[in-house]
Amino acid sequence: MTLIAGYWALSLTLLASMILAVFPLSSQYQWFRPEWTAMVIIYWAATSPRRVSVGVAWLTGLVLDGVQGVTLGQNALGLVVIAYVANVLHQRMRHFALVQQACLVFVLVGLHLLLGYWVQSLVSAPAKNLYFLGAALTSALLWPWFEPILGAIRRALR
Amino acid sequence: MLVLAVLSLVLVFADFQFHWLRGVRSYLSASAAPLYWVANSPSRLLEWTQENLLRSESMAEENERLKQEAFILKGRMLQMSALVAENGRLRELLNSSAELKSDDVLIAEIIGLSPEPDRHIILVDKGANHDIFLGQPAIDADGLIGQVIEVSARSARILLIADSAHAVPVQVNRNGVRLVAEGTGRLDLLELLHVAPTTDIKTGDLLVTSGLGGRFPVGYPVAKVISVIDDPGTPFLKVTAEPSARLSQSRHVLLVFSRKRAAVAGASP
Repeated sequence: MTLIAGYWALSLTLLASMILAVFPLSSQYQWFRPEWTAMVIIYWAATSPRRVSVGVAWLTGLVLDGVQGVTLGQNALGLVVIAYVANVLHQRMRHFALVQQACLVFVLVGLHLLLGYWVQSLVSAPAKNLYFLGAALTSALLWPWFEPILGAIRRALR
Repeated sequence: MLVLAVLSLVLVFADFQFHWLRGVRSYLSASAAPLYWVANSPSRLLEWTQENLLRSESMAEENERLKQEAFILKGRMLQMSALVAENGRLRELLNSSAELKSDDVLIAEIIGLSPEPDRHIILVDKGANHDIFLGQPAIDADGLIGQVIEVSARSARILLIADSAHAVPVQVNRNGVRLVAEGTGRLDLLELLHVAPTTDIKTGDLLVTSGLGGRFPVGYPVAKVISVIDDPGTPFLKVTAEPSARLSQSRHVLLVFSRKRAAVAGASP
């Protein structure tokens, strides 16, 4: 029973993150759109590593690729890598303060963005500046609020 | 982890190198359309309230303005039909077989924008069910917008001319010089490639589609030249132009059905 309820919370948060990922923003703010899906995957991979591991992250990444209309595999690659790292670090993350967690999120989301950037440069001409890392900054800044909210959702649906 | 990472890379290559996954992609984007609809609903609601509740008094004003505009356009149409007839007669005199026919268009609403800040791709609400095809040109009231790069049953993605992966064959309306206009990644800027220093081109020239390459129909405005820089150290002129279409403001696009669709449908973007 709890297993099914846990999947409800997982799929709801993932769906919400994908809607936020395509939410219309004016072009000057687009560089700073937080990587919602990556944040959700980090949260679940760190809090329930047995349920959410690389497989879930990979499938999520594929769906996100389709939703955003980018090359299939671009988000999947990044999400698999960060889910793996979050899985490995999950015991450590549990003892981190929110600010420390935010720093880790900055690194992980940055890694995700770099991998996406790398795939994009294989496929087409990518941006010629480092603005794309802005999303890692906003994700990390939002993490101290994001983590308790997801925690509340998780407890509410358990 | 390694297996899945390698699998992702294989997918990346399968997708962009061999286009094996078109079917999968079109299913995925079809399922994405509701997400875009939900994501857009707040702005839609705002627009609806503005239109229906707040602006009732300015409605009469707008109505008046639109009536005047329709009147002026009708007047121009009268002249236009006379010109078409005259053009036909002159062409007959010249024994020319080329004809500038007007194309059929289908209006589509923009339902989503690419979330990536450096790509300029829009999602519209018409798809294969409405006979949209790959490579189909899209225009708005002021000029060329882009071309269709992905079709699913009820939606399609359009690559804008300002995307850095897009180039369009154009000619200068004043004297017919043929050039290629490439996107720069900025919505308000196109760049002209390989312009010889002796080319007759100047600021303010209108660039229209030349129809070469067979993808875009002839004669739609593309951009207006805004600067011509002659740097003696480089072999070509540096010419930039501003798109005529309002790429960042239009809510609707027109998809053009030109008569040459069979020829272009097979080509990849």
